[in-house]
Amino acid sequence: MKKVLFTLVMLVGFIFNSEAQKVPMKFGKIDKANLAMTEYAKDTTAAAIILCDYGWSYFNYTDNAGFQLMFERHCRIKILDKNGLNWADVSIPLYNNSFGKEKIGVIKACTYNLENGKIVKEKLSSKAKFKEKTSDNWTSTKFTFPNVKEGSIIEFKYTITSDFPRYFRDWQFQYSIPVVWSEYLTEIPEYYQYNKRLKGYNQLTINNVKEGLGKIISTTKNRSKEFKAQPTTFSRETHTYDKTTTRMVMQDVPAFESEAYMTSTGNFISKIEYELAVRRLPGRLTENYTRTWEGVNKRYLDSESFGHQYKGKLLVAGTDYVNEEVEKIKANHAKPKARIIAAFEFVKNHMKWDGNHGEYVRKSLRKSYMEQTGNVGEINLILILILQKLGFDTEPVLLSTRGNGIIPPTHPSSGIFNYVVACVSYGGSQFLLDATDPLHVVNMLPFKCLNGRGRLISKEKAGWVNLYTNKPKSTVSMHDLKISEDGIITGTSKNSRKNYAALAFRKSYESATNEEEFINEIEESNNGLEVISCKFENMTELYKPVKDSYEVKISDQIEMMGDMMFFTPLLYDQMEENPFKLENRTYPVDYGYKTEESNIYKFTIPEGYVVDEKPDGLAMTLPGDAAKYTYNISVVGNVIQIKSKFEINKTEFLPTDYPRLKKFYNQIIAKHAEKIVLKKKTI
Amino acid sequence: MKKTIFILFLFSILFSESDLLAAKKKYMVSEIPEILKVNAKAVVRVDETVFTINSIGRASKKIKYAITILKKNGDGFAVFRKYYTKLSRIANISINIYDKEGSLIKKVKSSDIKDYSANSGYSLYAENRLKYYKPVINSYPYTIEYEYSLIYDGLLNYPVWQPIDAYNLSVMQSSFQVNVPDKIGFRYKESKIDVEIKSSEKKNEKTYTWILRDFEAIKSKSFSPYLYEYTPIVYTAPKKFEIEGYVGNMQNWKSFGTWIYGLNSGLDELPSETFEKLKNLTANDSSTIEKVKKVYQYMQNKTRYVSIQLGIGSWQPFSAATVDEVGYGDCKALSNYMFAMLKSLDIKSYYALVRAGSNKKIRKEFPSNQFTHAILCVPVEKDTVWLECTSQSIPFGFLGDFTDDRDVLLITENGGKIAHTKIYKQEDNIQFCKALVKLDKLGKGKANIMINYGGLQYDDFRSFLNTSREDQRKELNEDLDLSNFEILDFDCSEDESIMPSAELSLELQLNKYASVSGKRLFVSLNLMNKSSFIPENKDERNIDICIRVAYHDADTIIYCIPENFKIEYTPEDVNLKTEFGEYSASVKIMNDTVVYMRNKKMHKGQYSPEKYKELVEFYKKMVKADKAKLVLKKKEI
Repeated sequence: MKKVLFTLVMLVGFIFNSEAQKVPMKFGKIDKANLAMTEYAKDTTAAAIILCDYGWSYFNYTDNAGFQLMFERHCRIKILDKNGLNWADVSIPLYNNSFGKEKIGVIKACTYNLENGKIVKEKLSSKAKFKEKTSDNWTSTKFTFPNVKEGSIIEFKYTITSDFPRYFRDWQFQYSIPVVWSEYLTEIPEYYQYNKRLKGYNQLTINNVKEGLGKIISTTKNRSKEFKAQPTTFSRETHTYDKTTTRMVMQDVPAFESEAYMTSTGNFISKIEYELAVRRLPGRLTENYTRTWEGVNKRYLDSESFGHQYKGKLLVAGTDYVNEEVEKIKANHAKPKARIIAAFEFVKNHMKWDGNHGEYVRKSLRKSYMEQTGNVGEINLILILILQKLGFDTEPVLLSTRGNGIIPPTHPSSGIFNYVVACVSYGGSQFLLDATDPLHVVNMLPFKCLNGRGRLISKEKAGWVNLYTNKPKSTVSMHDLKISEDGIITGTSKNSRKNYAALAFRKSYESATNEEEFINEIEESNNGLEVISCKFENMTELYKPVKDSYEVKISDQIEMMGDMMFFTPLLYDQMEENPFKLENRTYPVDYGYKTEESNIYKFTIPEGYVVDEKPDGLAMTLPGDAAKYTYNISVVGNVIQIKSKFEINKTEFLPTDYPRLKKFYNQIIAKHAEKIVLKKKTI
Repeated sequence: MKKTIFILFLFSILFSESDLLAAKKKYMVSEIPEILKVNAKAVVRVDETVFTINSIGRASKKIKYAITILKKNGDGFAVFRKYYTKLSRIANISINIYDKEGSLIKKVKSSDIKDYSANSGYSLYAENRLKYYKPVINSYPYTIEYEYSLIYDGLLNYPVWQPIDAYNLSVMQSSFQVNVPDKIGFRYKESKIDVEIKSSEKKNEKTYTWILRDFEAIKSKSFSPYLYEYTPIVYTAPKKFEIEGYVGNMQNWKSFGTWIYGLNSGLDELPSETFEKLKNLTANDSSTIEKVKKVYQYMQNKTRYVSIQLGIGSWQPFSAATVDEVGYGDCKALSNYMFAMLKSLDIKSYYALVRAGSNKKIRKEFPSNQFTHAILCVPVEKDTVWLECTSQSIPFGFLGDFTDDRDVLLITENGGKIAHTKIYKQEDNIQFCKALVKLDKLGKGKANIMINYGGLQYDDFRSFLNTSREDQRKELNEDLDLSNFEILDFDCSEDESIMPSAELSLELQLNKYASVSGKRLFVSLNLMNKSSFIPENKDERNIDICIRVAYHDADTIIYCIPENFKIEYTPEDVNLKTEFGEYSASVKIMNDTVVYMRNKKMHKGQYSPEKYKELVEFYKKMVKADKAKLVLKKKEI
């Protein structure tokens, strides 16, 4: 007789932590001295301090869910004064999509106060916890601590179970308040490999790596169908795997403060970031994520939402939709350069940027093209597609915007990029194009894109590309002015603006309701200025400098004193404020582009007057010609001529250059404040 | 029977046919009158609101809106952004976009309309949500048209029809219709209405309609009243209302106050230990005001403000016992807590509803919910003390410009009563600066400065007082109206009385105060309180001039001139007296010192448009006078 055995198999798996880790603090065990503390000696200005912040990321296996990423956080904060009270409001964002979610477990939270020398503890009530749907994919769990006042210690602890092992938890060591002890413990099974990247200026005080074993115990439940009376049998199976445990600690991390002309807070705050490199699950093919820049390159080329959208045999959909335009450009323009510009102009004007960053195509390029709107990726990949069809060697360049953080060349990753532009190689040069704004021109990426280098994605030529332009933000202004006996100035002002200066001018012109409004704004921001007539040239001819000229009448700039009059000759171009006001600086100054500003003033003085006093000339240079300033003044007959030229020839200055740079500006300000004195001739 | 069906069928064909034709061309830009394009970034083509009241607790609002965006700078007007709460729901949203020829270019799918939580940054929890859609259209002009309904289940506020609610926006047609059952009724109040109003009657129901046509865009101007003060507006309000079973009557302040009083009643119980604590705390104080102050400071130390908006359309505070237990609450809960503590000591106080912020006008003659915040009013021996209960640092009895000088609704056991909060006058709102500046022959200087702030100028200075010393130093470096200086030392102190004040003292090294030109030194007399603003004056002024705050600045700066220099020129004294304010600047020479005195007083008030030129002149002269320089010349030896 054939025995049919029906086996129900049920796998119950869990992981043994082979050895218990020593945790830096125990919930509820509060040091009385910390509660009594009224001031933090290492930073007496701190409104609150993080006494201890402990994070633990590890993996958990269940048969249903597979590997899940567990994250436990335990944080203890001391409130020192009223400005620190907002640390008692906590918000924890959680992600979900159709594939899975992040789930938060029980939240333990307590406030501790010292009352009459005794520690009084108060638990978070369930009424003070809220769950809120922030948007389609995000919810927030929020809570607020009871009875928090100056001197309180608050502490919270929670665990998040995540269905996304791809996104290993980053850990932030630094905050806007000082951190006494911050520790992150990670346990990563051999099946996952992540690229790690430590950012910021602070060092890890402990960084221990230990190799060990992890176990999955699976239970198999057997039951025979034939002999119902027989008991169910269990069999246990143990799988072991290699596990890497890393313990990272930072001690006494100072409060983070942001400074002017910084590329982005994210570039400098102390933090460790993770990106999945390889997933090697048993019984499944090894999945390689990114580890080398070549890998990153290949990943983009092979991506359906990127490479396949514009190139190769695997093109996601037909690209016929651009053919008509391509033919039109070919027919209308014979010269290669004219064709590049025509394609660029077409995409800039055909497509409207929807305000979203991101290098990937969300739906399809075709749809985006038809709807005439897109994110950065969609718009610039359409441009690349058209340029390729026109026969130009065009590839995408990926970059990270200033707000998104700098690309670390030594840590290959695809997660860091958030922007893409087109790069045309022609006649031995490379031209970078960004079609998201009709005012953009060739080789002049918007300021937000000027952030280190970009990565050219290409089968043959992958590599780094310099994003900065050599062309300075350039303004030349010439003023031919006449001073009347009653101190009124009349004459003409002509400006020529190039590159970023032209872009800025066109942008502000565009944002005014109309030209009249624009002139009003100019008059309002320059006291005493009256524009009698004006002329704007090349406002729409983007490859020519903007030329704006004005016939002006200026009152209130000349001070009369008896038979003398005096004034500051650079009028509205006078630099009065130093952009660098702090006493010293921790982070580099990054201008994004070079600057060149020339102002030439010619004053015809009123008849019967002579120049009694005038400023001396000045020439200043910072080492290596990094910045330059010259000021020349000459008097010929009744005409005074002043030439002022300001140059920043380097885009980045190190903190050590800061005092010199600040002084450079101060000297210019002092020079600009100097006066010309006119005096009535005595006969 | 058959015939009827046939007729209906025919009708529907005719309708859909004409619908199609209409859909072909809608909102052609050529239909906009030229005059409406002047100063406009966008033109409202149609704006129809139909508000239908079903019962005292239920109503619906149907909106049809279309706006033509003329240029890129008008894109902001095209954003669909509609808020709703737990007590309201948005339904039937449809959005279409047309090009300038009037052809339909896009029908927005409902999946493209986002749904967000709409809590402001400082709000920990509130039940506000938002439907959002932002069109991205590449060619101008274009028109976005949308329709939607809001269905209310419990409402305290009826709509306000404000057809002109933004600058640089023209309106071709806007209408507001209210359908109301006779037995429920409603109330309305018009302002600056020069529009048609129609009303019609059906059985048991009335319909009111207001229509506005061809309103030209308004430009934003300095010293303007708020738009609602000089453009058409209709306020509406319920007679009776119901929220989550709580029925109220809004026909007068008394009855509205009674409703609020009802919501709060029974929420003022306190644990006996707290009562004992308060009793001990105030045992030695004889005067009521001293007791109130003690209790207030007790509350400031015990609680903090957390915005959690829950309960009866967020109108009911959580109980005093809860605040006592957890130590936090929103404005309602904290005011009620303070009320409860005072009550336990037999001190009378009133919970007060207030419209907070700069837009403070309450339409007293039209009882309705015009409030956004709650404070506490304590009548004491001679005076009234107003308490802001959400701040841990504000001095006892001080309100600041968030709630000063406005009508509020006191909630008493006998219902609502209008009262007025404290007015801070010109002589209260002061900034007095005294300084001694020693100059050397290179134009460098050393300055000892003392600045006194009072009233609303103290209020502005409070944020500085409440930051860390490191941040204060940073702020001084960035905000002082001086260039190239170093802070040698600084200090600030505060007098936290009922009319509080603060003092800032500074010791500065000025690296280049006077500018040197050959044998001369040019010294700016106004050390760091220069005015530079001149109101725009191109267009003819046709709206009133509004100066909202009165204040007084006085500066006395003593300059010690360097050795071997003599005074070559001192500017003439300036004395300006206008309706809007007064200004004077004078220089006195005493041996080797020059004393500069400046006085500026601004008067609060509303002035007629024809006086605008005078105002501009006043500002121009002040700016010029503030630039005045003293000229020193090297003595020839």
